[in-house]
Amino acid sequence: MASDMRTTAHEVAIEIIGLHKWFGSFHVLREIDLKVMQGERIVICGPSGSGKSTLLRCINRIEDWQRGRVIVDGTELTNDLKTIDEVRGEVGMVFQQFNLFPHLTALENCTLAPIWVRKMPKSEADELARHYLSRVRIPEQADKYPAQLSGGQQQRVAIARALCMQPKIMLFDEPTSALDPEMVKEVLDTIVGLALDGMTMVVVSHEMGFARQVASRMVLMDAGQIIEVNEPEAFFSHPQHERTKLFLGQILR
Amino acid sequence: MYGFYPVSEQWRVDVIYVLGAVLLVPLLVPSVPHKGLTAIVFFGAFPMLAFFLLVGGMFGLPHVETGVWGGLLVTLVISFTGIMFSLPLGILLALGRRSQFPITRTICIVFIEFWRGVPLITVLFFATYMLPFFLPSDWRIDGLARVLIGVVLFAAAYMAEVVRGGLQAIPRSQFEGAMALGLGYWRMMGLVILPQALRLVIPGIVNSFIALFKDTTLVLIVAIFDLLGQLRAAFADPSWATPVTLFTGFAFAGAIYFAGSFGMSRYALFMERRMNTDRLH
Ligand SMILES: Nc1ncnc2c1ncn2[C@@H]1O[C@H](COP(=O)(O)OP(=O)(O)OP(=O)(O)O)[C@@H](O)[C@H]1O
Ligand SMILES: [Mg+2]
Repeated sequence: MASDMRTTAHEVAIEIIGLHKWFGSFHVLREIDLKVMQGERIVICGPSGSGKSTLLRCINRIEDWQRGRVIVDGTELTNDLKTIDEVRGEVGMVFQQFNLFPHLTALENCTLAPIWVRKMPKSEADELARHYLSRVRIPEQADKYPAQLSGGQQQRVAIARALCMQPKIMLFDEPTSALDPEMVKEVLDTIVGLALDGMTMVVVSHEMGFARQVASRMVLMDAGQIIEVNEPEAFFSHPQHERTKLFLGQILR
Repeated sequence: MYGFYPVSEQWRVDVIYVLGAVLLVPLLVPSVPHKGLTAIVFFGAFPMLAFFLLVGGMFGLPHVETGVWGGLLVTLVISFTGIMFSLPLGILLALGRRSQFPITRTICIVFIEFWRGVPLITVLFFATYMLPFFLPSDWRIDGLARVLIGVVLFAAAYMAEVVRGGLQAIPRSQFEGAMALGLGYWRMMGLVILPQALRLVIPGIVNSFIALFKDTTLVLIVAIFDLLGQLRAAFADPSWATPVTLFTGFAFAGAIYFAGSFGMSRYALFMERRMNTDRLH
């Protein structure tokens, strides 16, 4: 299946060069280099605390860093707030805990940014939101508040919310690990659907079946470093590093 | 009702009372539509109209010194102004206190702690008797206006701390969710964080409003006659005094304050319930 989703364009979507980050004296990210091409789907895995979320959050600068460069869609992220907000408009993010706004309905969650950031008329934003809510297969939940939805439904609203900004890149941080097992599939199917449409994405996930299905490349992180980057086939069948073998051994049992 | 407001001009006060009441009702009853418009009229146009009508001095209306205002009018003017300005100012102070810019943060902390550290009485005394000495003599600010500014700043400092409590209760994930959408600071605060934070601290906000409403009695000390002050003035008037005036008078004033405070607290409770059933938290 991976071959159906061949990368078409050859432009660089995300470029990370020599990235270092410290939380106080704790060195979370060490010398990270990673280039993601347009239409590519990167799946990052690795043990807990290895810095996967932190790396992902550097891509839309929810975290800042001390050394190195991050260039997203040709724009280098600096301290300039305007640039940061522009890049955030191009990069959708889906969180482990959904991070929906509890005081707004599913529809309002989706229309908020298009209306206020993209300056879209409300009727147009509503239409767009309903389109993406149908796309994640919950059009009938549009007027409910997040607390009235199941975890799987909430996560799908979160995906629709990010898509409403019509981003060029999507970031997913363990999108299914807060979900009950029976809801994992509905969310993963949504993400696979996006992958089939050629969306550039970086996904942190331990769902190895899903990774095999969508990944163009697999990344293994450990202790703040990228240990191995490889095609999924090679990554799973003959990993080059001991630590990858060890990690896969633990996770696949 | 009017204090020493000239009898021939008292219709102006009546107009404001009636208009205020007429506007307040649609604003408070949830089922009436056009909330935004009503709010703009009530908090924007109405105060301006009230100002021109009550102060006068233009459009052929004779000027009425604020010195002769009194009674319920003063109580309401001070409470309304205090409530209307202290909430937005308090929100700004609370945001400033949590700002990542050290200068903004320091200014806000100093401001808040200063105003919380002095008793309202001191503020009123200062505004009324001391301030004129410090200002150039041709810099005449109206006595009531000085008191109003003092009350607003004082109430804003308390409001800031209430709001800050609400801001602290909002989890980091909400900020991140908003940031990731590219909302930017002000939209993030205005659309995502504050609506949730303020909802959490409604009891605290109402508490401050009630305290403010009752604290208006303190202006009596600086010779501005609020409701209670007016009452004392009336006792001195022999044409009014009977053995029971004292009791009925105080009972009446007490009843008005109680009605106002209790009304506010019940309404807040009602709104809180309503919002919670909306959101099923
Ligand atoms: N805001 C923070 N302040 C200090 N330390 C932090 C902060 N956020 C994360 N860390 C630390 O940085 C390390 C990497 O965290 P990160 O969340 O990136 O790991 P992760 O690989 O995503 O792990 P998990 O699989 O558990 O989500 C952890 O040891 C964590 O304790
Ligand atoms: Mg993580």
